[in-house]
Amino acid sequence: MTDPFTLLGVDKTADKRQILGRVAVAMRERRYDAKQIAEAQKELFDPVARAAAEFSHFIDVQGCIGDFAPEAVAEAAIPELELLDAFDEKRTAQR
Amino acid sequence: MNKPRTTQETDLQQKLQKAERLFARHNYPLAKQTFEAALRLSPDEALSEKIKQCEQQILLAKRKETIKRARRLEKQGKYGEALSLFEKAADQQAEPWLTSKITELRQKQAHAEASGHLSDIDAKNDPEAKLAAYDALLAVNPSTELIEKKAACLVTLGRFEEAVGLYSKQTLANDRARYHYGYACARTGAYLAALEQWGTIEHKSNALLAQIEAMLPFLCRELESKNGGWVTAYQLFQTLYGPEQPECFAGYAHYLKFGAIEELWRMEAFADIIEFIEPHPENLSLPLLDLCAKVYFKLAEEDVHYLEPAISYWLTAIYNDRLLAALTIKQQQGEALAIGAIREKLLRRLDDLIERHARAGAVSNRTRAFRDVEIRVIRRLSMLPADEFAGSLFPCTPTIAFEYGLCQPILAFLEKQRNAATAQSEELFETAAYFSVAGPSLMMIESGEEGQALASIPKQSNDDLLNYCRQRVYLACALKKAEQGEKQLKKYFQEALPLIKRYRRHQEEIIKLAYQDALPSHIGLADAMERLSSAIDSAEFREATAYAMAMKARELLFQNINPAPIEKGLKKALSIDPDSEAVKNTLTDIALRKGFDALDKAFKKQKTVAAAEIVQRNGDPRLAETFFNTMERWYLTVQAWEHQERLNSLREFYQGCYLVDRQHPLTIRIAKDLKEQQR
Repeated sequence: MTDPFTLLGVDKTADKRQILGRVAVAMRERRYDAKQIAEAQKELFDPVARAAAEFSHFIDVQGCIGDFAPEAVAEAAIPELELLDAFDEKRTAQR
Repeated sequence: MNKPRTTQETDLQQKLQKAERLFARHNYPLAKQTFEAALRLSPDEALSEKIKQCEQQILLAKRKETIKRARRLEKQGKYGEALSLFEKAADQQAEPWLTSKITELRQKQAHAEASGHLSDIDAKNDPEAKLAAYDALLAVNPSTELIEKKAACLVTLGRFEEAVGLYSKQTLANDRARYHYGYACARTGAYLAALEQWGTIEHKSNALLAQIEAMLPFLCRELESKNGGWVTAYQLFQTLYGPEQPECFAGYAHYLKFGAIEELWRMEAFADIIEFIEPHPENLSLPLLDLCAKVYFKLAEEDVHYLEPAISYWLTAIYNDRLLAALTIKQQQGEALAIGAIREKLLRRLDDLIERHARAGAVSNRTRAFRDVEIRVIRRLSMLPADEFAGSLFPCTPTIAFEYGLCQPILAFLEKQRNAATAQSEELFETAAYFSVAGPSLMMIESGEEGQALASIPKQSNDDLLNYCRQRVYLACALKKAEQGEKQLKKYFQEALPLIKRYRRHQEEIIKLAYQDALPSHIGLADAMERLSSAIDSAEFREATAYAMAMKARELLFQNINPAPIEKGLKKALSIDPDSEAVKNTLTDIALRKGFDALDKAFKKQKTVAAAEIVQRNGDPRLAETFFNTMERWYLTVQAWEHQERLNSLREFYQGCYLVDRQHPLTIRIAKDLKEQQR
């Protein structure tokens, strides 16, 4: 079952104009044959087929993760970790 | 005073002989002395040459001794002294092995010197000074230990990138180096790399675990920004904490797990996702159902073993309106795009998948039956008003219900539906039965495993659903056995009697079977139907029963069984269905057969008139035809007989023929012949 979204490189929110643009690019790139590209376009232009394709080829793990979100951290910050004594050769030797 | 010439010569000869002996025994120093003494007596070039040879051998012996001493010193770790002796030996005579040995010893000596310095360097307090000293030592001895010490020194100095550069080229052999490498990675923002190093530390102290915990939010940020590394991170996390991870990390574990699943999905490594979703959790959430349905479907595309879970999860997912309503295109198009149409399309995808495997001969009857039951049940559930299930996984297939403990609420709901229904349809009953404890037995009969179903079905009880399943299993067994032409069917049909009486479709199943002329035997079925017919008030059933009994009678006739009890059975059949043509025809056939038997007997005794009377009583034209054929043969035979004998026979023939058919050409011919004979 070929994924028309991946084949044309479009997101599930892509509109017809974007799809047509990607069809043109795919034709130029020739990574797939014209028939496959045409079928992908046809599938994405048919709402029922497109819905089925979206259902089949996309997963949404966010729902499985639920409410958990990692603690928000500043963009550039690196945690101020202290070098642990247990692994510090000099301190270990002193002990 | 000079010795006399002869004495001098004798002395020379003795010396030469002694010298040669010593030379031959490799005693070169004494041989040299003796040759020199001989030379003094008589100067001779040959003797000088011998002396030179002795000197060379003496030098070689000394060189050997030097090498021996050098080896002893090397073993004692005295590399400097050993080195000078090997060098001396090499000066005398260069050999490749000596050159290698000298190089090796020079390195050993340098290393020994460096080690001596290393303990002095390690004792220094100033990291900068230490670093400089390590660099100096590394110039002569680039050992792993020294590189690790230098890298640790760089970490202490906060020069993390340089430390990472050094560590990354080494195979780290101890926890200290791994910790420092991980620390340096963490301080450069490479949290996944840090976790990779810390994950391999054997003894993980609480302090280290606390550092990992502090790092987790940063790790997640790193994974998100590069949209990768989730699988590695999750596996490391599992290695670090094992299955019994602290409560506070459960959220991160969950987060990393689903990040890993999404990463594997993108990589199309569907088989690797299995270990993340199996064993299944106790509760199935809607997002997890969605995920499992898609993963199992993708797996089933490649491997038919995943077809059954794919069927169950896929059906449950596509019959969930909330999942289909959440699709982007559905949200964009609203009411213009019907959920039913999307569902049908997705259902076709499943059927196409099954068909593809079926074409390859990989789909068993069991899987086909499994698909049929799962889809039949979920379709029926989907047509029921199920407001009370809002927010839960309804409708679902029986398999999903069993796996996630959803049967009880569904059974309670279906009972309410049954109570509310005006007419008692079997559909509701059957649907509920699939969610009952006997549901798996019902599934077995669908896939043609009646014997196993019978063995697994619970005993009779007061539970309506259980009894329904039990009767279904017994009926399925009865029908299967009847199809196979088995004779002992009564007890199976009898167990299923309430079901057969209640639902017409089961009566029709039996009726259809009764009319199957290709059955290996109708005997068992006819007996069972005869018994059932008194309890089932249906003209069609009675008709089919009579037909089966007629078929049974014919079967018995072929076996040359005495027709009398067969006739009795047929009369019973006529009492069940007085209009049964099959029974009437069979009775006629029996009468004919009886007529033929009697006719045969009479002919054997050559009793023409008795034979004629049998034909006359029976009245069947086939019997008359047989009679006249025999008479014709006999008539021709008697033509050759003597007059009186022929006349007597013709009279008897005429009497018989006249009784059967006075207008028959043979009767007329015999009459005419008789007249002529009597004339």
